[in-house]
Amino acid sequence: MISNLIYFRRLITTLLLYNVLNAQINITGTSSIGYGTSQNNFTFNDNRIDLNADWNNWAGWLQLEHSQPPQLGRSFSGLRKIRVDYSKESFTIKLGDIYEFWGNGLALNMVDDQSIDLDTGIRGGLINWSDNVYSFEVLAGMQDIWRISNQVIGFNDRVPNYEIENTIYGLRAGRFIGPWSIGSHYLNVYEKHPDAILKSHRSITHKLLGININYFSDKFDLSMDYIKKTWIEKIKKYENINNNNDIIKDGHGFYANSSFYLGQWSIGLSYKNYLFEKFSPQNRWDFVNNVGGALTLQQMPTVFKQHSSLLLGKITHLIDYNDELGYNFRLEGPLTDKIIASLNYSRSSRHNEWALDNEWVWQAKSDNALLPSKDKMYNPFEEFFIELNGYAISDKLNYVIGVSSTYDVVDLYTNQYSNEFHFFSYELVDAMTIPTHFTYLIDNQYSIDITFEYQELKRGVESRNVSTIFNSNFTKDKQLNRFISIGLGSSPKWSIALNLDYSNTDERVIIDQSREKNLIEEKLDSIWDTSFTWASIDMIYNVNQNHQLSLSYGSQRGGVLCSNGVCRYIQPFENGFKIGLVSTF
Amino acid sequence: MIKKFFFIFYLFLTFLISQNVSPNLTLKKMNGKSVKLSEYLNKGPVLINFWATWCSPCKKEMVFLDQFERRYKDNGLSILSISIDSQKSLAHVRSYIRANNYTYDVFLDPNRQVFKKLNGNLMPTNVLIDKDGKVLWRHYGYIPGDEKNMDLELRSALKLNP
Repeated sequence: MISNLIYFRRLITTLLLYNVLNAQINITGTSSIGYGTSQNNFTFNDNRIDLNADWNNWAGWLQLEHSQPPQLGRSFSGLRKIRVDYSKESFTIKLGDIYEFWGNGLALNMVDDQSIDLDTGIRGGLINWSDNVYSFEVLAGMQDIWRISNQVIGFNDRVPNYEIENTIYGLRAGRFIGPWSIGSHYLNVYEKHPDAILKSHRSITHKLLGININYFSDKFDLSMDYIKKTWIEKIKKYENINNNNDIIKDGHGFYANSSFYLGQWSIGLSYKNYLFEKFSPQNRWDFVNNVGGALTLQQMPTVFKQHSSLLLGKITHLIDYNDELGYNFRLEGPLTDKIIASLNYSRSSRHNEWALDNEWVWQAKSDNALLPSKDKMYNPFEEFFIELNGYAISDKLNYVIGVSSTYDVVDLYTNQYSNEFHFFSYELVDAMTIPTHFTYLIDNQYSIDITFEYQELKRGVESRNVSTIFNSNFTKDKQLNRFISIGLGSSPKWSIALNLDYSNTDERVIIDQSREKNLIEEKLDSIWDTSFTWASIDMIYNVNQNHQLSLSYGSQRGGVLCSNGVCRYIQPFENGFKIGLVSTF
Repeated sequence: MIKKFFFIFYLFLTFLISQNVSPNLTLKKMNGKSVKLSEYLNKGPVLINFWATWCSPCKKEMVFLDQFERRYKDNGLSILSISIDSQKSLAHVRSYIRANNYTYDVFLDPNRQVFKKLNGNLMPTNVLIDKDGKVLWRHYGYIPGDEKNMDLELRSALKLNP
């Protein structure tokens, strides 16, 4: 029996191999291996293999993972993703793990962003029919979304501890009419939230109906999306109580983006108005006890600039998809044939002012605004950013110089009016940042890469009782941050960079007195006090066109990492090393 | 355990035999319309470049891609520039292309599905394929000077003198 089984497995293996070699199945793949360990026990072991296969009209994808533990997320070992696609002429059918993007993300935006451990994909099926005039799509599937919350047991800022289960079905239709395209979509999401108290779950049904209009031409483009969302929470009926307390609420989201093109210059204006639920300042970020509102799979446009600067990335505005409106204005074009200038201005706020009544209960004041407010009680955010990107010295030097001013009322703690006084307190971020980047080409092989970023950051609680006072989160009134990276590259083989992230102070709550300096920091200690310096060396080596090796030694400062409008606190990586290998076959 | 290892090894062997990109690959233009890769492959070799507005090395490399597009267009080369900007920065893609006067075709891949299908892992990723869809060259990242190597690969694909 056993020998038969072995024979059968060998036969299958041989047949599979034969088929692969002869039946024109094309299989390609990539693997990434990552390992890191540090003095503060930030250890990870991340291994992933993606395989893609094509055979005539068929395509397949699977992802194997062995992460014990990953950098962020839950440990996993096994088949993580699988999908089979069939396409013929205008038809496409997909079965398995599906990632789609509807209505600029207002309806759904399925992403798998492992840098912040956000996966909003579904496992199910999709049928699409489209030519360049009409398109129709139907999808159905299940989804598990894992999030981190300190409202449930097992909180760990690296490992999600709260699971939301969604069952989704939806359809959409679209039509192209010359430069115009019009589409409509409907989505039904049955959401299950675990309820720790009742040892059960809360069931919410979301219905999303959206429309989008786009216009695209050489001089002008426009994109508008509107979505109306209704959600119903079924309240369980108990014996002898015949009441119907089901909660029914609705909300909406609107996004518009337009750009005008004058030669190489472009003027752009984006607007957002997301009002899916009004949560008080106290409940704003608590998705465990406040269900409803925007879904995690609605990853909508943020309508502010996404920066590549390290220091600006750490103070990225945390968007509230439930209740936020704002706009972004941008201007971009060449000043000369060697210099491109860009200007970006963003502003946003909540729709209402929130204030505590005499019973110390939060109440939304005023009517819903259509434009963002500058009033601190509306959680305003404002950012102004200018950047020059140019070439000099016979095009050997590329420089990028920017200046940014950021003002963000992150959280409102108190806001109360009496006959004579107005008391309030809120957390404030006020920063000026200068990110610069220079690359100098020494010859056809070697280049020097220098990044210098400077930031003056004021973060703390501003409050008014008798007079207005500011209590800094830092041990000093302002935090002065600098990030320097000096690199040498040898094309096409390797590059090495020394990174220094240093500051004059850190937040009181995260200063680690027991932190030990690494070898680089010890060397630098003779030049300046490295108590608040995180130094590392990174090296990348291209073994050949299919394999890239990366090595890193040193420390990396913890902080907020943002992507797709979702921010997450990343633990510091102290005095350790990381190794990574990416291979394609 | 050993059998499993060998099974995987056999599979890996097959990878060495063929690396092709399906001509049925569907790409989404900035105006929302779709196009098949085969439409470009009919003209000659195709260089697929993945980039994003937040990726500094990608932007440095794009200057040279534009030069290659202008230089080798008449020889049949197509450069397909696929932005993986998410909804967060999608609105900035077209203005960036216009400001820099890039003339090659730009596509959008906000969910990174094409990026994953072509085994993209790091940014930027470049994949050069011939008329039959066979992968001729692949490169991750950009170190200044890499454009020289890219030029050689393009000339080889176009069967021009190095």
